[in-house]
Formats: sequence, structure tokens, C-alpha cells
Amino acid sequence: MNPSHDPPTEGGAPAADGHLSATQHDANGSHGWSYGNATLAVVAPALLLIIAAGQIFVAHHSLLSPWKGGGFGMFSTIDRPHARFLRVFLVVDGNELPVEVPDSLYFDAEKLRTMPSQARTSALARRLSEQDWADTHYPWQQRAQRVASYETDEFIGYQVFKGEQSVEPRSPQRPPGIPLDIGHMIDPPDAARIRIDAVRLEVWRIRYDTPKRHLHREKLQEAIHQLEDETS
Amino acid sequence: MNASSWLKKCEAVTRWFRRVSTLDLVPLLMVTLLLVTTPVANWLREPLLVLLAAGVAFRPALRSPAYWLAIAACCGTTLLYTWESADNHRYLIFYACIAFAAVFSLPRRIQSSALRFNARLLIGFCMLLAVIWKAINVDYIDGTFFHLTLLTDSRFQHFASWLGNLPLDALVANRELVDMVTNGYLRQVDVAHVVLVDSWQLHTIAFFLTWWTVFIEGALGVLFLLPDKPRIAWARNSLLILFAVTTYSVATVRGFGWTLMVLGIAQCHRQERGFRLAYMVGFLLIQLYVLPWESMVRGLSGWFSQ
Repeated sequence: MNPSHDPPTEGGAPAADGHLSATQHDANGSHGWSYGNATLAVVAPALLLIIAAGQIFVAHHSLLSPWKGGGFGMFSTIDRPHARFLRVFLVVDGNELPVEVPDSLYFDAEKLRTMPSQARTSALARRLSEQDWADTHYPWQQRAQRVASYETDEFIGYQVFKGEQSVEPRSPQRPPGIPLDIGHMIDPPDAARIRIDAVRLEVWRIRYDTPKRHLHREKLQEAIHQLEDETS
Repeated sequence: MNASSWLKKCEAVTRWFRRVSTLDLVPLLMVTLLLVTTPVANWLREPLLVLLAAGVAFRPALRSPAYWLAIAACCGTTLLYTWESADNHRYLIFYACIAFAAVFSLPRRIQSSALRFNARLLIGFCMLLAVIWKAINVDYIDGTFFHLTLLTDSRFQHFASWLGNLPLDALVANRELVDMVTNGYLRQVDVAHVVLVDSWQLHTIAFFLTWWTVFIEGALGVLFLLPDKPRIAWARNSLLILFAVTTYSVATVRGFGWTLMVLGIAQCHRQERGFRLAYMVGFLLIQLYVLPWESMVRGLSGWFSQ
């Protein structure tokens, strides 16, 4: 194999020692391309092809998004990781409360969206069940009783300090009919802590029907993690 | 500093750029690229940054196979941990580092041609695989991908609004509808399907973009894998620069664009100084594309209105 039609003009003179075979090849007109050198020169492109072939295989036999995995399938389908989404529900006393995935589990969620599998969905559901879930309204109410105005920086700062996801000022009185504000909290006060019975996690993706202009969702995976009763 | 001294400095940089060997320039650009786009939240980040800084400070290291093997080991290990979520240009950078290690362990006499050969194959295979994926995905071939992208991707909103005869508000409404399907459940609005605002012009644009992309990526794949002849070299360099200048103005993927520009320079012949310069301009242009122009203009207009 001769990878170039050009005479070797750049890079300086051939090394005086250690590359004798290359110089000998030059004398024969092959520009120093011994079998060993040629093999070395194709290592990177060969690796690219091997990994890309593996990615194509895995993407066709699993739910790996074609955008990822080193197969250069980006911008080739609407089924990219960002078009996949998770829905998390905490089961409390028979009711399902919708929550977001906490920031601390962002990378696990990203991996799950990119390549969902039943094992990964169950694992993330279990990790979600291990988080501290709390009524994020609770500390707000407590603080509201102690200061005159609830729209102060102290309030917002307090919520950020407590690790809540939302820092928007909200009414200290919960309007009737609105369910609990549930969120992930770091070290929540006991009174605000939510005792959950189970976590239900769903993985979905977006589909689009161009002629009908119809965007809909399609479920890929679902897992429920039941918490064991601590009192039993 | 006055204008003449600026001009002198620019001339000095241009002279250096014309003189510098590809074997010195390309590794330096790759180190710069890695320094700017180092993967975050990784225990290998600090060792990698130390290695990269050492390469900039001690330039002879950039021609050492051991140096590039160490960089490739850091990039490869990172990929191993994040293989399914890593962007494709992370893979391409890893292959380029492997290629540098291989090239610099070859006899000096053949290093340049080996570098050109590796860069050509890496670009060619990458483009060919991109086309293969597009060809086997039904939702790409039927135009759905670009159609939905134009309707819902904020990066395309001005382009879609201008050519697709849709007000920006309609495109914002489309994104809100998608958000309702994905996150509505958090606000007790559980919507399973929505109908997006659309226009017939967007169908035409999506059709054009679909087949233009297949054409240009396919042509690049073929041209970079064909034997190295002067006419072919002219065509592939021109097309790759056109691809970078047009594609990355919309799809602002700086890492991939930069990697392609570095590999473009790497596969240039010594006498192709114009193309080398054009790739360098492309490299800088891709950075300009990702600047927050909208907020900068808004900030400036606010400042002047005060």
C-alpha cells in the first residue's frame, strides 16, 4: 500500500539511525512504506471502522440512539437522546405524584435516555427511591411565618441553600386543590419529608407524523421500584 | 499600539503560518482544540490538562509518539466510561490522537504523507458513515428529520421563520407544544399528542436540506477516499470548506467543526497554502458562529438606547 503519490518532501531528512529499512525501501522507490509502517499508518482509520461497525450493530439490536456511540449517525434521525424523556412518579398512599429527576442523577438519566434498557430503567428507579423527597412548600411556610415579606432575597437564598430545584417565589399559602409540591431536597426537615411507597419511572421518545403534523410520544421502557416496609 | 504595528504583527503571523510545517501546526491546533473542549466532570480532566499545557510549553513533545499515546489514553478512557453518551467528535479526536502517535513513530521521511493519508481516511470514513446512517433511517429519507428540526429547534428558528413563512411566535408555540408532551405531566397537563403549526414552504426547505446534506456528505466521503490526485484534492478541499462554512453556521457544533478543520489542514499538501489558510479561516469562523450574537446585539442596543 502506498498512501501517497507525493515524494516525501516535508518533515526533514530521514533519520540517520533506527530507520534503515525505510531508507532501503526508498532506494527501491517505495518511499519507506514497509509492511510494518503501512500497518501502523492505518491503525486509527481501522479503529474508526471497527467501532462504527459495532455501533451500527448495537443500535440495531438495542435502543441505542443512532446519534451516539461513535457511529457518526448524528443528524440522521429525530430519535436523538434529547427527543427522549423520562417521567418519574412517586407513589404515596396510593397516589402518584409527578416529580423531576434530581440534578444529582443527571448523568444516569442521560445514559438511560441514550440507551434505555430494562436493567438501566430499574436501576434508576431504585436510585430515585433512595433520594430524599420532601414537600418543598414546607420550609417556605415555616419561613413565611417569621418574616414580614416573603419576596425577600433571604427567602430565595434559603431555598437555593436547601437545594431545591425551583427558586421562584411562591405564595406561602397553598391554594386549595393543588397537590403537594414535591421535590428532591438535601437534608430536608423531618416534618417536610415525604414517605414514599414506590417510584415509577417511564422512558419515552417523540415521534412525528409529517403529513398529519402530528407529534406524539411512544413509551420505550417502564419500571416500578417498591420500597420495603421498614416497620415489617 | 497603533495601526502599523498591528499590521506588522499580522504580517508576522501570516509569514509564520505560511512557513510552519504541517507536522508542527496540526498537533498544536489539536492541543488547542482539546484545551478548549476538554470533557468536564471527569477524573482524567486534570491529568489531561497538565499534559496539554506541557505540550504547548514544550513544543518538541508534540512530535513524540509517547505524548500522543498518553493523550489518546486519556481520551480513550473517558470514552470508555461514556461511550454511549459521548459526542461523535470525541471519537474523532481520539482517532486523530492515535493517528498522531502512529505517524510520529514512523520514519521522519514518511511522516507527512502518513499524516495526510490518516487525515483523509478519517474524514472520508466519517462522512461516509454519516451518509449510511441517513440512508438507513426512514425518518431522515422521508424528510421528517429536517422538517421537525425546522419546526421545533430554536437554533433554526430565524432560518425557518424567514424562508418558511412562519412567524417566530408560531415556532415558539411549537416548542411549547413539544414541552407540553414531554414535561406537561409535572404541571398536571398530560397531553399525549399535539398538532404543530406548519407551512408548505417548510416542506420544500426540509426536502432540499435532506438531499443537499446527503449529496455533500456523500461527495466528501467519496472524494476523501479516492486516490490523492491534484484535481481531486482541489475538489475535496473546496467542498469541505463549503460544508463547514454553511453547515456550522446553523448547526453550531464547534467541536466537530474544529476537528474537521484540523484534519483538513493535516491532509493538505505543502504547496496547498491557500487551502491551509482557508481551513484556518474556517476554524476561526466556526468560533464566530457560536458567539451569542443575539444577546450581544440586544445588550448593545440597550446600551445605546440609555
